[in-house]
Amino acid sequence: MKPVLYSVLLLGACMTDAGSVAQNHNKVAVVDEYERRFTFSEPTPCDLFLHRRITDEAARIVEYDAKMATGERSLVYSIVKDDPLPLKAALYHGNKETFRVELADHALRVDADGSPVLSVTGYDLDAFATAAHAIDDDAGLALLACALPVHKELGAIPQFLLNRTSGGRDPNQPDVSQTSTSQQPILDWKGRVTLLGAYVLAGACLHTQDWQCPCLRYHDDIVGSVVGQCGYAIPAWRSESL
Amino acid sequence: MRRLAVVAAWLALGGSAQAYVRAKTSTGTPLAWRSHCPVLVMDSLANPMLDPGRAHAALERSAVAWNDPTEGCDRLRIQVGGTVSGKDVAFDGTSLVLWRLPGFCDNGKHARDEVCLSPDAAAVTTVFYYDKPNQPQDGEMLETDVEINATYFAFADDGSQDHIDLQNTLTHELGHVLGLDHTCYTMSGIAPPVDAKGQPVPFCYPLSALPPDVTEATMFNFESPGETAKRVPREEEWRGTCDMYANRPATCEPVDTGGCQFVPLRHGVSIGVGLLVIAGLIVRSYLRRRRR
Repeated sequence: MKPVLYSVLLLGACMTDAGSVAQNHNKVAVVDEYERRFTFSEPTPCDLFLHRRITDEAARIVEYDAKMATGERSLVYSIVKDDPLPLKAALYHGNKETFRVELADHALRVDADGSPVLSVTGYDLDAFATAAHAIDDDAGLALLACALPVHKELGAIPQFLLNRTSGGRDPNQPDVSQTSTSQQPILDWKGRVTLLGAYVLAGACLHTQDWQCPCLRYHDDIVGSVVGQCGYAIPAWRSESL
Repeated sequence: MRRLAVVAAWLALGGSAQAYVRAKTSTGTPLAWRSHCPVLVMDSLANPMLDPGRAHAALERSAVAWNDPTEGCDRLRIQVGGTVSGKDVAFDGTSLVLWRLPGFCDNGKHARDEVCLSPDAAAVTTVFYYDKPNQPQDGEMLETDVEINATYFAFADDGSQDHIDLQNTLTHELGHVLGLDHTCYTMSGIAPPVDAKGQPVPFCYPLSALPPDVTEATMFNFESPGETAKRVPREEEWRGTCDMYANRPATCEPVDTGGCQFVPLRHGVSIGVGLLVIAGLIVRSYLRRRRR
């Protein structure tokens, strides 16, 4: 029986306690490098020199680094699922955040230097806004207005911005999800515009001192329809504290 | 010899590594290879865009990039074996390097594969380890599988600007194989990880604001087409692995895939397999004795 005993001992030594084996996944993500000028006429006119795009589907973050006429800026779009204002767009000059826009289905808020700047309810239909003070970042506002995530010229539209929990992508058809893509939405979104449409409105309507939408009529199969409200302005009591 | 002299001088100065980041268990125990060594084998499925021999050579160079600088200071070696067939990403006793080729994610059964979930990733390393809080085995690394994402990216081994450099990618992934983590973190809403000195690791975004010691590291979690900078680990990174493995009880012998293999344990199969093996041995022993 010696061989048997030896084999049993060897087997025992080699076996692992499977119930306690965990795993983690580590990835190295590829940066999309552009280093060239782009000019877009829609949804709003935009002229910029785009350095790069960094997409992180797992973290639900996409960053654009660009040079605008008035300076270098980074714009980070993200989704934070359980946040009451789950859509985010944060503008950076170097490592300093100049302002950020946070959106829910119908309401949005703008903060700068940690303080509220602007609040809008019904931005997707009948906007009603209150403002505290101006946004001091023309380059950031111009970059936000470019609505870069909707431009397929820059590559695959990040799946999380299509409200999809995961995504494969076809380089030739970046707007078409593949069979591996889960159709489970990230957000229970009831807005009149899609997530991308919300970002389009935020970029088109947010200005230094007010919320004023142009007479915008934009439609795209992925973005959906986005209609501006032709100059709806912040009421006179704009100085009211938020 | 010169490299050994540098290591000796560094050890003489105290041998304290600069900031590097270690992967950890759910309760914060750093991951490390303790009783085993990382032995990597390549899957036989080749990438038609890159000669298998050249891909294997890139893997070997990546292993050397970590092994060489630490020759005089630690007792762990990444070993590269030959090729295997029929294996996949799973806890099965084989640390695999495999290609994911175009069309892989079109198959619905691969929907939950990490490469399909992370189409922005050039490669994904899955690390299997013990997560047994308050027990000696906690954090022990057992196996690593590396998936190279040719599903969405074109790879080359010559640093060409329109391709992902395979050696650049693999050297980064082998850092994970050794138990290292990224130099910045991406998941918001979690407590920042800390580096080996206890300092918080920065959030990755915006990337444009990260300092060079984060972005120039081999373990920085982003790469660009044509980038080759990650082929050579930074000094603080290989020094980190020296710290991790200087006091390891055993050295790594040359590749011997016939050694102690892990029995696959998923879904309770291992116990069945184990019992079958034991039963087989008992029957064989019984039959032999009967023949006598």
